[in-house]
Amino acid sequence: MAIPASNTLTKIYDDTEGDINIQVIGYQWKWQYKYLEDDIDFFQNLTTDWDEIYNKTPKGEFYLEEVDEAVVIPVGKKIRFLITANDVIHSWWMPDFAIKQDAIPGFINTAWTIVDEPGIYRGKCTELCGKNHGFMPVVVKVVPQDEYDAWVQEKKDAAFRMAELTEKDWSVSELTERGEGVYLKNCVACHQVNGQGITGIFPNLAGSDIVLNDKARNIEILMEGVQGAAMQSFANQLSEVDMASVITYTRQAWGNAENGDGEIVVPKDIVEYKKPKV
Amino acid sequence: MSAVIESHNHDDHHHGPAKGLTRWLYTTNHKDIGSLYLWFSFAMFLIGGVMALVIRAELFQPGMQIVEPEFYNQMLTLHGLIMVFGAVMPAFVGLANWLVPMMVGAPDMALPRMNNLSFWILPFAFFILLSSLFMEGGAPNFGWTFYAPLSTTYAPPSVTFFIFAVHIMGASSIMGSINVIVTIMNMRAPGMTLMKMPLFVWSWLITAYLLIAVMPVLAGAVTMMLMDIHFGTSFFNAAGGGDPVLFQHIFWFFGHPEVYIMILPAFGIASHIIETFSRKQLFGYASMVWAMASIAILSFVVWAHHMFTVGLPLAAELFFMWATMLIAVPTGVKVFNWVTTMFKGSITYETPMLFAIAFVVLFTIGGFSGLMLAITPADFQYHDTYFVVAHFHYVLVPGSIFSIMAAVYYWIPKWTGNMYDERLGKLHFWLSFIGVNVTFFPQHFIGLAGMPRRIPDYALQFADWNMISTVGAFLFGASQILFLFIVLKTVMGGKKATSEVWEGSRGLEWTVESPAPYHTFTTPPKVN
Repeated sequence: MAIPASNTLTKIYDDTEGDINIQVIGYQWKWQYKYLEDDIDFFQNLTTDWDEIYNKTPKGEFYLEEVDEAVVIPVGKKIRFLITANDVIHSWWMPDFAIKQDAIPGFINTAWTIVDEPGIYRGKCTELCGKNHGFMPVVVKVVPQDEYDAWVQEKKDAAFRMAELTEKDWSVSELTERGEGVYLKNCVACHQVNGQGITGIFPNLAGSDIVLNDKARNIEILMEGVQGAAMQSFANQLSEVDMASVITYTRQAWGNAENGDGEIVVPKDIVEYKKPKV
Repeated sequence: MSAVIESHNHDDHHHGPAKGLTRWLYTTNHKDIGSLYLWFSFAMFLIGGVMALVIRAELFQPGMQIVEPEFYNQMLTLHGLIMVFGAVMPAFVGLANWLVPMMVGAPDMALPRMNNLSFWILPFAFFILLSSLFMEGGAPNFGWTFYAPLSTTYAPPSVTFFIFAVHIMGASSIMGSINVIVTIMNMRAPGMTLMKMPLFVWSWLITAYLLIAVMPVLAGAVTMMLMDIHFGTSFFNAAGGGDPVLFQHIFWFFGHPEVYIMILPAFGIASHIIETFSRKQLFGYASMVWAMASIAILSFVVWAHHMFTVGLPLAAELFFMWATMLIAVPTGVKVFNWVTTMFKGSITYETPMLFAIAFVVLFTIGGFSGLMLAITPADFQYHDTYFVVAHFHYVLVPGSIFSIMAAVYYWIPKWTGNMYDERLGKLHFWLSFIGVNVTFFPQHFIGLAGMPRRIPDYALQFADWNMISTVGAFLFGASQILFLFIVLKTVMGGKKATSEVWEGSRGLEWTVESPAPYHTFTTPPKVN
């Protein structure tokens, strides 16, 4: 048993560069993917509705195994994954590729695959990483080369359109509407739908002094995270538009607008914040 | 010399057990402390068991039904900690207290006051641990392996209480082990050489050395966590130049010997019971001793097989894979010896024997799945799935816990002077046996099908086997109430037991009357 196992292991431990190199970063509780050659960068979140999880609506076919954006890779190419994490230890598991590598903050682990069959492959996080460890699946879509090239082009166009949105003038209702979607995707796991968080671990946003009256600190927390707490920096996860709209949403929702200064944040505020300070 | 012995005898007439609560608080008697340990561990077994049932109830169907994910994580953490440190380890220490002095022909443990201390700090440790459930932010929620930084930077505030509790448990274990070692080394009856010691004594001698070697490592790990949390160090914090993987190395350097601490005494127990009910001398006594010693030594060089996916260098992966496979050799020797002891024996199937045979068979299944996990490239798929959960529950529940139950049935006539109810004992065995297998065997399948461990909810393809597993867990849980009833009934009364209790029993503890007098072997027996 030891001999074939040792031979296989030696083949697995090939960390030479792939045709496509993708950095995988684990967050509580989502994955970020960076295509190093093509400058593509996106997050992967669970899309299963919380109503399905809490048995209020029937469960779909891919319950807990469906995400907003799949990792797209071409068939027949050697893909190398560079796996790390931003907060706690996660583990990136794709059973059909025989890859399970821990995503550890401060370390970069590598794994590689060559997929022959196009299709949609599903995996999961397998290292206990906190409350929603069971709710951060991995989905990889394997497509023919030409389809892959088209996808890369489309991602680049989308990035360009996003830049245009940042320049636009936004109204309060536009921001709030967009912000609610961002909130439900990124914030709700900790701060809950009603903004009240979980006592002792995740702070209450409804009526919080920072959310009510301190716009500058509010932006700073989302951009930098909070040292020593679960709150991470969202600076790389959210575009300027999404960042501004989600802050505006929390400052408008749950009666916060009436109780506080009601100031909104527009995308240009975030651009301003990101400029190097003297 | 004879004058000394006489004065001891003289003392005994005045020192029966004290009356009331102080008997238990101040006791330095190894039998009293043994009983305290055993009752304490049974209470913890029930508490940890209820937590396991909360987990299984939540997993009965996909979707969140009973608890929130946050509380689910607290349950799985406390279940693991309580079962390891509160149920299995104190139960073995309790058995050691009752049996080691009687088996080696000593009047008591060597350090009776320390014995009292090592027990009485335990309830405080678990009071602290369980009280964290009612603290702001909830109880520890990072799994019993408490990997940093989830257990440091990202932990609830109660983690500090958890660290303190672990320190107390460690101190208790170390004191218990020192006591066992000193008793065995200094207080054996004249003529009992090391290679004539009963195997349970041998197994505990080795276990005690393992405990002394690794509990300080655990204490070091939790102290480093404490420093990271409160004093601004960065042992495990990558942002401060620390190393989260270092934590896993330290933890498993403790953790792997720890799992053998939980199984070696079981080897001793099974050897005695199989020998008795096969009415044959144990086959291969010396090889049993050497097998246990080599398992103990190997346990120090295999820790990283818990960490095959953290990105170790190839050379390390190969070394730990080969070292782990080596463990199968001494373990195989032991199983072979037990089977050979039974071969052509005049076997009867009383309850302790049923538990012991189930121990051998089911522990071997757990051993085989362990061998599968040792193969690194395959482990990349099994790691952190329900296959691992099935594996370690097979070695811990029908392994350690069945052996403890077997020991209780086997020695309880000696402890109480009464025979247990054989019919109820067999019923308890069969319910437990079926319960354990229905609970844990399906977990092999859901693990291989791709269900990760420690998740509160799962994709739909895992639903059927999870449901069956939950049914088995409730059956197993309920049958332990029967166990409590049987033990209480035996303590209260029952058919009187003889000194030998069992037809084929061997060993010094069977030469004293049943129930064993409060003080035994005040004059050392002679062993040929």
